[in-house]
Amino acid sequence: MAPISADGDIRDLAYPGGIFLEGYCRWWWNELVLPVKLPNTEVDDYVSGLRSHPWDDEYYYGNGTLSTDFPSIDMPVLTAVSMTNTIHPRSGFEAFSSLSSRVKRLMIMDAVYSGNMYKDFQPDLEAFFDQYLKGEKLVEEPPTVRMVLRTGGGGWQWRTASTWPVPSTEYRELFLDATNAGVGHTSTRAPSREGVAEYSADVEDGNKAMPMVVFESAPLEEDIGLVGHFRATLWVSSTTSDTDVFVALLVMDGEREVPYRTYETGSAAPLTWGCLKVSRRATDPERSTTERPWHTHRREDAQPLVPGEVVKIDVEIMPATGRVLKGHRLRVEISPVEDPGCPPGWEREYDASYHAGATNRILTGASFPSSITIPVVPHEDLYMITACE
Amino acid sequence: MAELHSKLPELSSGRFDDGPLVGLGYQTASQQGFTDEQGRFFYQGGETVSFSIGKLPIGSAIGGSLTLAALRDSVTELGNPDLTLPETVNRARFVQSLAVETDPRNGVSIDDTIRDIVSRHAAGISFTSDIDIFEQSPAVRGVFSELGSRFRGVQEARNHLRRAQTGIKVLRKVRVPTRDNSYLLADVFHPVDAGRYPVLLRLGIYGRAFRIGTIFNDEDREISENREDSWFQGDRDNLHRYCRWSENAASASPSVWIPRGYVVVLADGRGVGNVLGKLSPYSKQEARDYFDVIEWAAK
Repeated sequence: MAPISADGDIRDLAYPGGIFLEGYCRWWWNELVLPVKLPNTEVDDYVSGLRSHPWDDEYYYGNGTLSTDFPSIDMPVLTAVSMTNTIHPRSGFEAFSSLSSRVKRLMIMDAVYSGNMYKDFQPDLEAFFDQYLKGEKLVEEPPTVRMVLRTGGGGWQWRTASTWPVPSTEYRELFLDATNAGVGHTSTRAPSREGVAEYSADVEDGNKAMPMVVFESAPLEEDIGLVGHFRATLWVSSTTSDTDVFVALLVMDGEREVPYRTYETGSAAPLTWGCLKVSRRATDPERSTTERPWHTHRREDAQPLVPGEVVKIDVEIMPATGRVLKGHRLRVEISPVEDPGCPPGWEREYDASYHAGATNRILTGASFPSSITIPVVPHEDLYMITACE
Repeated sequence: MAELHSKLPELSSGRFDDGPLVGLGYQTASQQGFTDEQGRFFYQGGETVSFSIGKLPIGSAIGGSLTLAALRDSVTELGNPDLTLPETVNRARFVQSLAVETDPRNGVSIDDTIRDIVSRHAAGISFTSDIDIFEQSPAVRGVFSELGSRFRGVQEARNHLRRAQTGIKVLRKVRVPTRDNSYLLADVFHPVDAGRYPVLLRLGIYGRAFRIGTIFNDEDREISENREDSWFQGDRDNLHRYCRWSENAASASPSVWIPRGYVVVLADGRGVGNVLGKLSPYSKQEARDYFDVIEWAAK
């Protein structure tokens, strides 16, 4: 079985971070599905079904859109993910970790993935099917994990790894430090002073720039390889009962953003991103790991905000690969809706009831040590196959 | 040398990979007859074989496994198969249009009725004409109006030839039975050479038309055939980036996998295209259907 750019459950396609990916789901249904339908046949209304089931409930395990039970699968599987894409950016990682299969392989593609899927990973698919459908013995065992290691400015390299996450990963926590003067900082030690960064949650006025708060690192003292899962731990409050938090991680070369797409130019996505509806912040300690929080998305776990009250949230940020050069800076942007990177028409649901007129705060410092965690992998721990830059 | 000469020359058999073409007249320096039930013709190694339907010469080629693209009108100008030559297009459209099925999965069987009709119009048929002139010629129109058959399109004929050249045979709209006594519809692409092959299968909502979508009528089929032909001719740059790389959305491409010894099955789910039932992607019903089509493909 080779599910490529696939989805497993409510977290993947319908409600990433608990926010309905309404635009994409509607586009898919209206533009791709309805035109092929047998005229006059009965139809399950996909979009309405998802909209009326915002929680991870029985709908996703019975008569609705089904979830995948990865541990129950034990056949050989090759799966591929389109890292940081709006669609299919995470399920393959979950599958690789929880399938019972003795043979499993993971291919990590760029966000705009079709070229990777049909051209670049074709040899992996051929090896996989030749081995497990034809029973052929291969001279050399194919890599378990093969990835596009993005190097910025359109460049990339092919890398392999023995498993995922890469065993030598060092999770480095970068603490946010809000200042009164615009852009805040990040540092490897929690700042002793307390800080607050405030932004509007209201983006109805299309003429204004995206409201956001920004934190930037000092220029890197050496090249670093980021390969794996990212997360943000944030202390937030709002003037209303809920809020959507988008976290984007970018790389800056001076004032210029370094693009991390490869040869397909259709994406404006940052290095990586994540989002969370704050009332969905409850996590399952059993399923949460160092690399990523597991939000339950159950109705009974809902935790609406009390206006002004500070809460801690863990934001799952999409796994990604990226080589960041010495002298470049990491930049964290926190905003009330996605920006940039969402293809037009694929926007997430914007619930005005808690955006309109609301103000959000990100707290930093000793009492509220907001941070972003990045996966640093030593350069020599990834095996280079061929350079493609 | 004496020993070689004393041996009886062995007969070789050939066939058309885009066929079988049954009942086609053939002649070589040493052999003549009609292609048999499997579409085979016989020749001595190295001989040129000339084919005919009644009084109409269809073309010639050096004996071997052929497609119609290998034939030429002139025995002195034999060449490599060329899908762009008007001669190739005209010949493929003409012969394929004698087939009963749209696929045409069973190839072409030439009987006396066809032979008589073609013979009566033979004098007016020239495969080396321009494509437009050929399709409008009274003789060609006469043949197919008398037979009551659709004269197939340029792209459709070329796509069929191209698949055969790649060793691909396709069966369209194959009924796949399901446990509830209903059925799905699938396109099955398999190697021309008979055998057992592993199957790469997808079931879903992207349809069986080339690129994406479904074929409800002749116009839809023409659109699909045009897409296929232009894609294979390399016209891909203007396609959406999710459509540029594959023959059908989210599916294995037959032109890539069949030559490697695989079968590709594209199945429509319930309520998709001409499959009866409720359209319900990601449903339990779809999962059951997936199970059934996998079991079916494995048999």
